[in-house]
Amino acid sequence: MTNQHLDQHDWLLNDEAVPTHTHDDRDPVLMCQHDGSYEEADLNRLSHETRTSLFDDLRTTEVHDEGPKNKTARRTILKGIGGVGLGALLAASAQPRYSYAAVPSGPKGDILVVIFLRFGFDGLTAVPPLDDPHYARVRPTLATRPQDTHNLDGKFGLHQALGAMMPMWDEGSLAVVHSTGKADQTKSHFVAQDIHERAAPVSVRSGWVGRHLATSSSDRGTFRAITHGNTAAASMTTTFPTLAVGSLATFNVNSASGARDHLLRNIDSMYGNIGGEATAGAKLTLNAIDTMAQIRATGGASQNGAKYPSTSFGTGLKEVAQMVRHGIGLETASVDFSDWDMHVGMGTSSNPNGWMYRNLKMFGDALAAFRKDLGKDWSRVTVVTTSEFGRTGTQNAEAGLDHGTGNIMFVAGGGIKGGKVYGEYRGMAPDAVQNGDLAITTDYRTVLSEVVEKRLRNPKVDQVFPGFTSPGHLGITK
Amino acid sequence: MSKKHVEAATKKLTSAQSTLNKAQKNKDTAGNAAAAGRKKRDQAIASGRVAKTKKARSKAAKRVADERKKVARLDATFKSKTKLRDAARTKRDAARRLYDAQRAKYNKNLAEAEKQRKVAAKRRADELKKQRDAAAKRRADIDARAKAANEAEKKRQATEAEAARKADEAAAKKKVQTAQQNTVPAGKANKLRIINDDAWHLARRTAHGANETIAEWIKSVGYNQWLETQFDPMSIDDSVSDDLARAVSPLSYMSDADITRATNFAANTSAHFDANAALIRQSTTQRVVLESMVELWRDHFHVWQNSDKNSISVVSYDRMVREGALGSVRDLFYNTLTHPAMLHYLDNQGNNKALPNQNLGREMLELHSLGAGNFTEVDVLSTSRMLTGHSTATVDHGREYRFVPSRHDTNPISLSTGFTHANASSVEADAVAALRAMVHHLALHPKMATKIATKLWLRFVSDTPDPKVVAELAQVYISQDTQIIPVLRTLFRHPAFKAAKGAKWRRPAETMASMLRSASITQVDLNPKWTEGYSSVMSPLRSWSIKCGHQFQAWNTPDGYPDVSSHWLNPNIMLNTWNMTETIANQAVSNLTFTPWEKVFGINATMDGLRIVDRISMFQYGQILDPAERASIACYLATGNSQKQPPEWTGVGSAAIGMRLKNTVRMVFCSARMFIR
Repeated sequence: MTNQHLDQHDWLLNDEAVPTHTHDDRDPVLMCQHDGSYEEADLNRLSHETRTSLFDDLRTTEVHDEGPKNKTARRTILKGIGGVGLGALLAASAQPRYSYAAVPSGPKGDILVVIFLRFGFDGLTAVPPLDDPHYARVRPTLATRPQDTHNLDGKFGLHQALGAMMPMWDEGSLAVVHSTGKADQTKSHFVAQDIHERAAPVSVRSGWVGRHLATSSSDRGTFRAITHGNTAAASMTTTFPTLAVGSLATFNVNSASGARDHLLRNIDSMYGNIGGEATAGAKLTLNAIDTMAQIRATGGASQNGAKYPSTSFGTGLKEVAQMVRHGIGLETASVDFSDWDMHVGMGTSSNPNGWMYRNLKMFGDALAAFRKDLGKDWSRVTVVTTSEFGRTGTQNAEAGLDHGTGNIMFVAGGGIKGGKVYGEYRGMAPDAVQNGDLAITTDYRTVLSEVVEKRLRNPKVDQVFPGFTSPGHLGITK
Repeated sequence: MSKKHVEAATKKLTSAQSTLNKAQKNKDTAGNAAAAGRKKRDQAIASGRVAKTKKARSKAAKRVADERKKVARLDATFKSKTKLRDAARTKRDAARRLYDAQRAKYNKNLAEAEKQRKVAAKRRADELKKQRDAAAKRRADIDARAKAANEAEKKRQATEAEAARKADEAAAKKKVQTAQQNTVPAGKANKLRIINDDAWHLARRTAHGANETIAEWIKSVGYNQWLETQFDPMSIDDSVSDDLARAVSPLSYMSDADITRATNFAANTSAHFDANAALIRQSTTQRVVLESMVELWRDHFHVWQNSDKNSISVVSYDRMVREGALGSVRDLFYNTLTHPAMLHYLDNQGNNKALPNQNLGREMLELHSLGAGNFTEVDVLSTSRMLTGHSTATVDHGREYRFVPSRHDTNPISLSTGFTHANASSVEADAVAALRAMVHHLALHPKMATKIATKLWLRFVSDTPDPKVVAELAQVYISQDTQIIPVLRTLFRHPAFKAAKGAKWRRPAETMASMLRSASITQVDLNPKWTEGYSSVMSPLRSWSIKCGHQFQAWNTPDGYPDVSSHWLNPNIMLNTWNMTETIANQAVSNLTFTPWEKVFGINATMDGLRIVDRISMFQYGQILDPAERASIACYLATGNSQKQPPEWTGVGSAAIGMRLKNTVRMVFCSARMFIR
């Protein structure tokens, strides 16, 4: 492999197609020495120890690989270029991409998609009771009127803005759990979100999804858990760094002037052996760049005519669907919808321009598109929505709702017994409410632990939710 | 002259010819008439011969006689016409002869003139050639002399440059040796050794973007004295930075009302401009401690810059925080709490006793003062009640604080922390005094002292607070009545601070400011219609800020940006930061003019690749890079190929500088050292 040869492969960087083949793996390479000089490296001259240690480094990300037979040899050579351990970075430039995919066996059960409706989603507006006079009493203008809903089961309605989700309800893959939450929770957004995502005593520093990942497999693969956003969700916090992808489309190292290969080599060299968080972060980044390139190469078009709203949440679900289809070993994905803190001017159920109405529509349309897009892959996906708390039962003087208590959860997927509202709704009568708010009758972890055990096929729910004992499954899963 | 004669002869000849033509015509006419007369006469003769009668013969004879007479007349006429013609011909022939003579004479003259002209032309050409040859020779002489002079000068310069280079290299080598000899492992990359130098450490922690200039400044005035200077920011001339910030964001210097008018009632435009001004200040100011503290307080008393609810007031909010950033925390606490931006951001503008809105009441306990777990739900209701009536009013298109007595809850207030207040009056002065009393109680509470001390630790020392040192700082905070400078003085002089080298990971805005500080913005140009096209002003930088999740004060929850690497060190941000380096290394940011990199780093084409790379990294990190990447980047600069070493390390040449210096700078910027704080 000569330098010229490398240059000839610059085009691979921008090419959307998966290249067919490259070059002879046994070609010698130039190794840059620490004094600035170069010598030709020959794999056969590398000591057994070097080979072994280099190979060890690869083991964590590689499970199986259908690439050329000389894969190991080529990788070791590449690692030798910078004298460090980030061979995968060159996959994006000088190597056929297919040989570098970290392709774990995938989850034992469903792929879990957690949708966090941050800043206090109001479940009572989304899935209102149809025959509770106290509901209309405490919310004179903000109660969702029965005529503004799709009738779910005679007792509850689905806000008309969520109408796109009705086909999921009708096919039996969408369920609602009413009056959920965490009984003793605080009304602070941040503490409540933290508690919700940790789902464990304060001394535990991981998130519940993270503990599921850690207890279901020893694999530390980069793509087991992906957060759509600039930073990884707290629920994903685990024993290894997980991926945050702001945008699949642009997840690549830019270099307009053809220096990308050299830049990548230098990054490889600069981060590979400096240790600590820096090396761990760089390694994760370079592997991610390579895999995202592969996903892009397989085409990003939505399937089955699915049309996502062009919102951050819609794009998030769309990209999760791409990753599900691509089979990169995705086990859990987290997508946020964060605009529910409606203390003032929430809007009514009949006003399509209202704040709440518009947000519900963006939410429902995106979720419906996700289901449509996934087609038969829907059978191996489970979606749950959570929020740190519900909102106050009574509306405030500014036509808004403050931080409250009970909420609802949507649970959807091919393995969900949908078409049913689960949980006990006690109503908004003065003697039925909790602190004036919707009373919590089902701990959110009851729902999550059933999903973890039955759909994710992880029996270690006691470790995923330490300190919590489920009163028993709701029977929401198949 | 002869031409005139030719013309006269021509005229004469033409005239004579014309006369001849007419005479000829007359002669021919007369000839024809005579011939016709003879014919008639002969007819008459013939008819007489055949006449039968005498009468007829006599008549015929008479006719013949008449005809003969006529013929005689006609012949006479013909004869005279012929004579005239001959005369005309003679005249014409004379004229022709004259013409021919004149013509010949003229032609002869012409030929002679042409001959003379040719001779003259040849003479002139010869003269010119002679002159040209002489000039060329003179030029050649000059060139030769100049060349000789140039060569001499070049030789002299080369000698001088070589001497300077050697001196330079010796100095640089010494500096490098010193830097390389005294290193410590970086906390965030334990196998990376960074310079063990207190001045560089202080520069990295206090400035948005440390570089050699700041480190040398600290060394030149001394560590402690430099801090004292920073604690008195107005003693530092910062006019360059001020002017740039003012140029990029005129709105940042206007009142809320003027902003509303200037932006034609689109006041949220001001948030974008103020963010640009902040970026300019962070990357150019000499008052670096002040700027860091402004950011810290904006994160602590956080107001989401881009929220529609409060955008009208974010500019004056930032100004207020800036004014109080190095003063007493309890004043800052009260001022931020009652600023229109905060009152609207956390929904207190409508807070009233009938249905208290608890948003601000909760956050002032949880985020601004005591911290989560240190208060009760009853406390939240109490602080919310205390905040009732503290609202805003729109005055001349701007928002001002306004107390609304009818909304104020006048029941006694008590907190689980021991604060009690009768709060019996809804008179503004009384309600303000009651709120101030509560704020002062909270500001001096040990839990708030610990929270502030922890915040300072996380900002300036490391991601893992040392409870002992935090308690020490909290003690200073309380004993100094919440004045922040004594706390900062204790912190920066503390052995725990000096021992924490490389233990922080830069947040994206700090990495950006660091590169921009080196790129040295020299000029800002705003389009005359700047308020209309605000989104394009410095847009590449804003775009990277968003992609890196660190747009100025755009954290969309009231707790402000996190300050630990576990939040920032993830693939998405790392990738976007690597990509951000390209924009700044290319110095391609709309509206900004930068200093060329050659000037920034003091490099030129006669330097070899290794030296250039060393110059950049020494300026940026106070160190040279580790051998592998140093050589690799130098190879790239010299040959265009990071794996191809030049035959020898000589000057890279201006072509390499032109084509690859920017990418070379970018590669150095991509080093992990760029992230280590």
